[in-house]
Amino acid sequence: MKPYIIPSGLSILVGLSCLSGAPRSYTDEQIAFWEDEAFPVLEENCWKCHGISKKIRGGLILTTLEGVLKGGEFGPSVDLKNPETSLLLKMTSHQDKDHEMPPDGKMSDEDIAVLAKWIEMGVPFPNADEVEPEGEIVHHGPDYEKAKSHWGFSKPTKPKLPLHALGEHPIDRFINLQLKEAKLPANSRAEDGLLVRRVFYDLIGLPPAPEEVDAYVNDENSEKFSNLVDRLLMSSHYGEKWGRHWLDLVRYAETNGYERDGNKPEIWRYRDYVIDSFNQNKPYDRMILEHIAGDELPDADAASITATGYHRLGVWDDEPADRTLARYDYLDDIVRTSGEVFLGMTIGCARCHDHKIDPISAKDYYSMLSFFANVSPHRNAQSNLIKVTATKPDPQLVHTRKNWEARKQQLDRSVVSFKSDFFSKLEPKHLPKSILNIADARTGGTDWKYTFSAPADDWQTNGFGDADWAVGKSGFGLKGTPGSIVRTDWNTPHIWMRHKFGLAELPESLFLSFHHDEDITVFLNGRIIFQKSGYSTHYETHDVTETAHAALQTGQNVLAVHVKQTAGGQYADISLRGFSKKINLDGLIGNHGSRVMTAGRFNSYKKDKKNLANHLKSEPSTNQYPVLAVAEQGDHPVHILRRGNPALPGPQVEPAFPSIFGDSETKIPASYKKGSSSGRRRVLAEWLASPENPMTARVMVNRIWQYHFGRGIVRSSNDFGIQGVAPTHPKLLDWLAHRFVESGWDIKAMHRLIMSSHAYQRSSAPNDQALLKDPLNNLFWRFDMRRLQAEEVRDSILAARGSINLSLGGPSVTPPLPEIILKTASQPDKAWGKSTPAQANRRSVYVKVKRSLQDPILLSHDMADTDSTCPVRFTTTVPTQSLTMLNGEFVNDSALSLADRIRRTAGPSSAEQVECGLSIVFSRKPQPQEVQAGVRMMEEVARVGNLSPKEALDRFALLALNLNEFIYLD
Amino acid sequence: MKQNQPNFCNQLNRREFIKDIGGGFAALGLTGMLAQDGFFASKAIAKVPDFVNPLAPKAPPLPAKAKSVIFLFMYGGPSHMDTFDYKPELYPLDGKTIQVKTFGRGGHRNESRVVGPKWKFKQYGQCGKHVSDLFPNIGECVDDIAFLHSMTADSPIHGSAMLMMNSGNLLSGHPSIGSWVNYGLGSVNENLPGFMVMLDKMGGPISGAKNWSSGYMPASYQGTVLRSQGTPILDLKNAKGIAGAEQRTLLDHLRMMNEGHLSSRYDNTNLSARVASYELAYKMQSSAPEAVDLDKESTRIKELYGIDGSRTEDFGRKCLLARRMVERGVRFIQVYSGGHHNDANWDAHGDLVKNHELHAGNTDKPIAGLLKDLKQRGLLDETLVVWGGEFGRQPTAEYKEGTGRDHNAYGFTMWMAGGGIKGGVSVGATDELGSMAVDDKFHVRRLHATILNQLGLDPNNLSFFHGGLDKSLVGVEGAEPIKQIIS
Repeated sequence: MKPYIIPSGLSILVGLSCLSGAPRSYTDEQIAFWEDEAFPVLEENCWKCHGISKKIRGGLILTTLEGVLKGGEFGPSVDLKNPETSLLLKMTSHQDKDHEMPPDGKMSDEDIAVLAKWIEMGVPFPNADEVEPEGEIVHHGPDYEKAKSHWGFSKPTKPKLPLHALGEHPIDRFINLQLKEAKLPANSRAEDGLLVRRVFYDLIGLPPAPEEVDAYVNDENSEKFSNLVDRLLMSSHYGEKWGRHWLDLVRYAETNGYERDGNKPEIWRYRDYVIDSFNQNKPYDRMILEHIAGDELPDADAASITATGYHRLGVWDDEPADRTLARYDYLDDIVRTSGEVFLGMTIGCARCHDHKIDPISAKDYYSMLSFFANVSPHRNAQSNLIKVTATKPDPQLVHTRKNWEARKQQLDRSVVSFKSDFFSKLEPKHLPKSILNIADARTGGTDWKYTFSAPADDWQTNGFGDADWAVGKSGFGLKGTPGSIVRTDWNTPHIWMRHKFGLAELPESLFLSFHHDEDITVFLNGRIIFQKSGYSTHYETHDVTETAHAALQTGQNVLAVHVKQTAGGQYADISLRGFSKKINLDGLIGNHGSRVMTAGRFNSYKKDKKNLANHLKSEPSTNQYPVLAVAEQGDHPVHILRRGNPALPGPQVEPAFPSIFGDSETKIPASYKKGSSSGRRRVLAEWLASPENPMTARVMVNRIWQYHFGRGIVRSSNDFGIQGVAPTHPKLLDWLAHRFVESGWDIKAMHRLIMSSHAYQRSSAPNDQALLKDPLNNLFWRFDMRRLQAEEVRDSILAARGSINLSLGGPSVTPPLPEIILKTASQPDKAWGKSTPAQANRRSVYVKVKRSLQDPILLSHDMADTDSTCPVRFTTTVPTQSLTMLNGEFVNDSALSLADRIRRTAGPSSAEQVECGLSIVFSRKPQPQEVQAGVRMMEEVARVGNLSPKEALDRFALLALNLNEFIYLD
Repeated sequence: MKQNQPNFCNQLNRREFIKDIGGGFAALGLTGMLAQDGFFASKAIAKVPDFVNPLAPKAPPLPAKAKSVIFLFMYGGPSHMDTFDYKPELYPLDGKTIQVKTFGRGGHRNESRVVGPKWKFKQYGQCGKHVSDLFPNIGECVDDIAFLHSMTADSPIHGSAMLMMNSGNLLSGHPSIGSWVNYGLGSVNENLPGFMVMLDKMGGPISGAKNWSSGYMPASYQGTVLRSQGTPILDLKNAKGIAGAEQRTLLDHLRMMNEGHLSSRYDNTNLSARVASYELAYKMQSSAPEAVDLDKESTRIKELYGIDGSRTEDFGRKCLLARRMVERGVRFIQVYSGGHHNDANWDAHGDLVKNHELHAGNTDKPIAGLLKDLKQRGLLDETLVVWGGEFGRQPTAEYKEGTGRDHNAYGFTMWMAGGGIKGGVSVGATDELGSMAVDDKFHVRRLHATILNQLGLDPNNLSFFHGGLDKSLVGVEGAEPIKQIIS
């Protein structure tokens, strides 16, 4: 809509008869004052912005009498009854801190006095000095009634399908109808090879292997296209590709921005939630509910709570100059993003005043904001984390658990090893009387009965007859096993050993020492008193009083041992010692540790023991993990803020939907209250996700269309308002919106529908006749070529070099960055991590999104801006991008790897090598002349640079990664 | 951009190009324009359309006084009352606790202990400007400088204040001023980026690349980091082991093979743009090293900038590089004095004397050298030099002990020289303590408006459509250039 232009011709206000009528008559005094005093002051200080400029500020015109009396958006500029309270004087004398006029410096007191006198005199303003304003009024409200009929704000009606004669497919009927009307010829179907590549990138963001393309081309099944689409829709990489589209919209980043650019802990869980949701084909209405109010839903679970991380993705200044304003900035980010993402409406524009173009009032804005008003403040580090319970096995929890176990074992081993060595070194005089001593090999060994073949099940019991077992002195094993003293050879997989002993009195404490390779089980009178898997490298001693004491008896006892061996060295040796009194080993270590052992070992023992105790306290949960999510805190009334300024609160508002959609009154059902949450967001979410919502379905199908075709049916996919670009196919859009809702908001079904159309499968080739009539392809007479997205560029390079790591999910990775980039950080050594090479080769969707530091490959290929919702990526082409592709370390390393891959797979001739390389980057078999061109390149570069054939191939691989066909899709 | 759309198709609404549409940013319009011109109907149909670089030079819509800007960014916030804002009444108050409203890192306060200025002031030039002993060399240039003593900003906290000074907004996500200039004017020299940033050797400023980000504009308008030592621009040098001749061969074959690909896709200007961009990159590779080669400069010039192995060497090299960039048509050059955190920049919370002696000592001679050199070459008339930090400092001490001053956004000093700015003038004033601006307050937006104005851009009309609004550097309320200093 064109901004409102002041109509020419003056209509004089009624009720001011002394000033009305034309021409106006003034006293000489009035005229003299006007000419000598008032006019120059107004002209110099006020008129530039309020009458004679291209833009009229604040809706205020001071070049006509009518304008002066009518005033601007804050009311009449003069009050003739009470001249001293006139707005004109208040603002010029800087009484109103928020409106100090003129903005570039206060007028002199004399000039202000002139204005005061002018008002007192009744604002004499001779007709002859009036200047008709021609500029646009900058602030003005929209025409609500007219705006209501804007296509974007009315609920889609289901259009009738055009005639069948136009095509089998419903989408083609709509598109062909418009092509027919415009007399435009449509392109034919793209070649199979090109189509496969298009579909692969479109659905999973990765290139097909040349073999996959061949298989498709040679497949004679008439369903092969839909089979391919189905197969790719089932791939886990589908979620990575389409999840990334969604991450653009929700301004996904993993740090807060500003001075510290602090991490958003665990936020990768949200990224994985998005990927999983697409992979599971979660209905879109459910996705909305989870994003806005996942914590308030009656069936809230780990996924839905993770989804509310959406509220936490924006920039956040931990040290704002004005905390109240910063709080509103934070909420504004949520309202603004939600308005554009879910509704395709620029609601955020109504923060300071009614929307200038769209029918969205400041009241609408603050009513929307109040849905989010109770969201708890964003804070540093761990404070916004919420624990959720996993509903399925969680790889990260398993990973964390594994790391924890490993650390525990490490500390355990260290503590046990110290204790064992201490116990064997401690002088006997510090120990109670020895009652039992079955010695191990270190002190001469003991005679054992043993066998290498499996005995009967009761072999470990006291009554078992071991008469036919052999007798041998411990230890048993293979000479050369580390730490072993072998007296009896054992080299079979198993050994079973028994030793009988008598006891007159029962010991009060028992210590077991052993050295085993591998799994050992120790029985006393048939009961297991100790078990350990794996192998030891030296003797360990354990206090077994608790288990052994209960098994012992006076008279005859039997100690039985089984050791199992699979590979490598093998050894079995054991001792059992019993004492007349309880032994407090920790006490003994305290008293004698520093004397018996070296200071170094004693100190590290103390440290590890403490670490172990702490480590045991931090035992990770097996099913719970934290996510960065939303909770509500308190009840915060919201007021309309004049000019968006928290210091100028207007009337209070309640949660309400934009009034353009009719009945905006909203009740929050009492039953929606959940814990400390008000249930407000659930009400909003249900409205957004309702089939009745006029915007939601249309906005989302338009996005799906856009990501398939490169542009939406509405090109401005975040703005369906009056400033937005009108749909090229409005009926098709409405029809798709209906279909989407009817399907149960089924995103994958929408992919199948769209991709099965001829429109999608058309060739991208130019056609001069069509180009002449429709150069922008408004009517979809062809499929538009597109450059790969930033992530696809990097992923395709990784794929070409053959080392892409396609593992799914988990914390983000930090591939190496050039030093010149790292140095731009205020703390270059702390700014970025260092992933292992395998992790560095993961898909780009897993590369950490740090607001202040970005990978040049991704940044130069127009990755999404992280600070606001990004509906459409730019496609820029600048020389610095080419520098990065030509000279950058990543691309050059990749070229060398690609060359190695070619050498591994192709024959030795350069023709074979070129053919192999081009097949990889083109996903097709190259033409003979293309191979020849590559061969010529290798020959010439070898000649010019005096290069070996290997080096020539290295250079060719670099060329291959820079080819347009590698980076562009047909 | 309202006044500047000659590179796009004039017949079409600017929003159809600049706002959120699919397809190529620069090339889409060209196809339309070619069609309108009957291009495709002509016999030249298979000819590849020329590449339109989004950074191609554009004529300013208004008469321009300046062609380039050098913004000397004193990161951390230099103290105005210790440098250029002479406050004789502050000296005798040293150590006394007085009533004064301040707002800084330490929050709002109503009374604090005065720290008297730590340096003497001398009068310089015909205008008799008082300059502290921190800047004896800049003192000699005061007749070319306009001092703005009443600057105000919206935040006294580094993070948001840096963004304010660089992008006109406390919130992250907006294009920096250099991006606006790049967008409005392009780069005269297509072989060099139009917006270059030189960082302190101590590290980047806080928020790093956000300070020269293009925000919601295409990435092509963002600042390019230029280094005074080592490889000057990211990936400018051939990869290890690839000789120049080999690269040329590679590029020739790349072009041939890309042209083969293009022959059946002749209408796609994005493809031809990419072909052309490799040639531009190649030219950049050969011209950028020459542009940064200071060995071409005479000893006398190097001495003028303090490039003599002393403490002024580093900043001197950057100032000299800035002049060489100006000579080569780079539109906007930002040079940071100070990086990293704490006393590695002008953020003098602890020992004011030690901090400011360090940073002023490193920069005084190079800056004066730059002004004098620009002047003697006749470049000062068309080069706007801007000096200042994200805010100033308080007249009072931050802590019980010591001389450290906290941040002050209520009033501080910046200066401008050249590019159609009057010399030897001082406008605006802070109160007698230097605690806040009282006369002719100039918000940061006024500074931005002045810079754009001198470049021939109308600050209130240079806009970019984003998120439902025509956004501009100076905000919806607009801002006027500071007329008092414009000659």
